Amino acid sequence: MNHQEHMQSTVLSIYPSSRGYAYVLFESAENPYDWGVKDIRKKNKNEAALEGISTLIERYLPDYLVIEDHTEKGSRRSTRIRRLYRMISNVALKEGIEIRRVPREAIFKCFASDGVKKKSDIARAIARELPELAHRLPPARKIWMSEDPRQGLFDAAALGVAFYTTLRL
Amino acid sequence: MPSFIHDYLRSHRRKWAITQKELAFLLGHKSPTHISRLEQGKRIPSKDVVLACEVLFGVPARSCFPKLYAEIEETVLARAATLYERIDNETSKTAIRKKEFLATALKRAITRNNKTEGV
Repeated sequence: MNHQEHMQSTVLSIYPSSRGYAYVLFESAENPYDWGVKDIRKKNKNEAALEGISTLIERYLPDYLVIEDHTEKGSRRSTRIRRLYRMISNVALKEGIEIRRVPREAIFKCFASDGVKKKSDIARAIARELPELAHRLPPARKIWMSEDPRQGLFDAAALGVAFYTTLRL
Repeated sequence: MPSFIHDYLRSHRRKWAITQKELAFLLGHKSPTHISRLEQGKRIPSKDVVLACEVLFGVPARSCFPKLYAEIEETVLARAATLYERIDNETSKTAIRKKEFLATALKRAITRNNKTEGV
């Protein structure tokens, strides 16, 4: 695959959260084709999330599946989500889809030119870059507020954007 | 274009924060199920839907429904080629005019497809 073909690869980035998961399917670096936030209120969250993610994988058969690198030092994902990441990796392996793990550090490095310090800064940078998602940008979070579920969408998009940046290098 | 893409209806709809129910209303359908089926490629859009989408989203039908366009293009061009062959030996003025028209249409499609494929 040459550079041009790499930039045209379809990428499904997934960001699980305590309330469910968010996903963005990129048709190419600047073109998100589908995106969404799924709220899961069942007891067995991982099984329900995996079912939804498997459906997405089967429907779109992306070239790459991108998730956060939970194995890196300093990753602050819960045990349940780490388990879900392993389950997602197994599904991707079974479907023959290449899985890529992007560390948090790489995401922040990717948006360094925008002077980002927080996830919300990255979300704003993505909203500028991908106007399709701009209307889903959550309001600025106050210290007493819990995270808006829509933030997950921008975290998933950030994974995809950071992944395409690594392909560009 | 990746094989899973039937059309860009879902992308355009979500880009403008329109729900399936609202789009169904805009396209003159009662149920959002119709939109869901169109988005999943389970139903072929009617000419009314194709033209209404062009009106709504401001993108040519070719860009919004690439798969459908490609299918129709293939069929029509095959017919054009057949007609060309049928009148190829004729030398009348009208036959020459017709051949000119068919050759232009075929050439236009080839140029467009080469551009899309980056040739």
